[in-house]
Amino acid sequence: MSEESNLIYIVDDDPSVRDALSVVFEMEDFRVETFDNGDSFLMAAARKEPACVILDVHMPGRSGIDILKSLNAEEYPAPVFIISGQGDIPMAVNAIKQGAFDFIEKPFDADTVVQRVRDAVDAMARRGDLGDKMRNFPGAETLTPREREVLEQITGGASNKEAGRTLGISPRTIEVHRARIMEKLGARNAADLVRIVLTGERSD
Amino acid sequence: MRQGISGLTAEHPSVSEARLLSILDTAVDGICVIDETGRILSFNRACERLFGYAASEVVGENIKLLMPEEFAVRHDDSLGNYLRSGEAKIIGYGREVRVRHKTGREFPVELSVGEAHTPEGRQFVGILRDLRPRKIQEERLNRMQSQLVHFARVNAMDEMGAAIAHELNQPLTAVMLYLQAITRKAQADGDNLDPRIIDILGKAGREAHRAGQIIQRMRQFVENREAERRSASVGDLIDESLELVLLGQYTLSVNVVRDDEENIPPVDVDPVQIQQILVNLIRNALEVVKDADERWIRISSRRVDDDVVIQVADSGPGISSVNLRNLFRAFSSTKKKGLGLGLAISKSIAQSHGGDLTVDPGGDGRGAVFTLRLPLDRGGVPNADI
Repeated sequence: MSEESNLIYIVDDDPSVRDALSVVFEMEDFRVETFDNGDSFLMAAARKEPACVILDVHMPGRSGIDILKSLNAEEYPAPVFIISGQGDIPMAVNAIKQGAFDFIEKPFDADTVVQRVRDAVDAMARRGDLGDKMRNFPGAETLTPREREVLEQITGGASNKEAGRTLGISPRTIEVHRARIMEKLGARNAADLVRIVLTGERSD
Repeated sequence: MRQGISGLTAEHPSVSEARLLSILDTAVDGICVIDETGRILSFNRACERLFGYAASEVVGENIKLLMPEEFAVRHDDSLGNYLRSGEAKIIGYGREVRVRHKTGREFPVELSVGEAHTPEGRQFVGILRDLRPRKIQEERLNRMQSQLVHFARVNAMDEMGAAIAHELNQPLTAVMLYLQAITRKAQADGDNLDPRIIDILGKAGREAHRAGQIIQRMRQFVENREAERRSASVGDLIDESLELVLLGQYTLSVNVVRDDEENIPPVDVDPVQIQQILVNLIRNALEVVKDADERWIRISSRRVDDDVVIQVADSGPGISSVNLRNLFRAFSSTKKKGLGLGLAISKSIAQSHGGDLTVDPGGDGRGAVFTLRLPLDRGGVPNADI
């Protein structure tokens, strides 16, 4: 799999949205490849590693959630943005549990989407050993790399907003990860969470 | 002790009379014999249970005892009328009548009356079937059906709004992106451009933005109708949906197969909404197998990881690739009637429950399989505070 530092994959069944997004990103000197369905995207994603993926979650045929699962988005190196046209939170939460990097609601403007993609790409580049310390406590192995990063931020005292800024994702997405982490580790509250991570003691 | 049909058995019961006796008392339906004057001659066990009288209490009494007042007053007349004219109003037909329990409570029965010419004169045999269980069932089904119809209507409006919002959002998003792309380019290029063009682009962008906000408000309005989530059993949801679909389908020639895994934990859903999906899927399946050589549908449910998976499979021809492309799109039905919102709504309901609705289109002699996936009720995430 080759790495393409300025390549963006856009997956959307609507031809004009695909084209408009291409126009915007090409003007920002990104290279763009577009796909009108999940399967052709998945094939391309296995060959090349883009800098970022923008995926419409509401598509006829294979749903965005399903595509995330097949991609194994949790482990996929490029951040995957979900675009959701219907703004329903359970679906967005589900997408993030399936490893989506963050979600953007339709309609969005060019500045927002370009900025979000740039932030994400930068955050991924900074990622390095972020979250690596988060391994030596009970339950650590159940967390995804992204969840470990979020946990490191939380236990470092960052607010949702600060953590979001560092990791290039929205505070709401941090919230989803936080709930998921607490559930996995059986923590009752934030203080409990810190105690588990620092002392290595399970909650009882 | 047992003197229920003493009127018939004045002398020693012969073999055939003993057999008759046993038949009468074994019958599930009430059987009651009267003479020409309306006097009760025989009253079987089922009648005793139905009316709360012992046979000994009513044999010899007039049948009017068992009728509500308004029928009782007319009964002598109609009996007499029949005896004179031979004009049968009830004999040979079954019909629904109200009768009166010993306590005075009235209830519906289905009554059929036969006639026997005996050496002791004409006798009439009435067979009575209690309609209360059926009534309760019918009322329950009627209630469920009108609830579903009402809901489907409200929901169709909602979903129509949501579908329009979703469909309009696509081109609108594209328009906004195009406009902003030009604006950014124009700003990057600097002085060469007439400032009025930048101004106009800005205005066009703001208008597109305004249209977006209108759609947003419309969607919020639609989504404000809170779904009523509660813990529900998957088996019950399927049972009730199936019942609703089969209601009134007396000539169904389709084999409906159920295959449910045991001990599936409950799901946290809006039951009426999920029923709407299932009713939709089952109806579609019945529709497509109508003209098939083999006619069956198969509904299965099982647990897969943290989800419950419900599948509706059919023996139809499968879905062509042309139809498949637009299957879950709003306003794209290939059926003559309907808006084509059914599957689009179903998919969006499934997704707003954190699940999904997908299809294996089949074809080449294989029918379609629709898969509804719903997350298990996990009692929510742990609370952040104690």
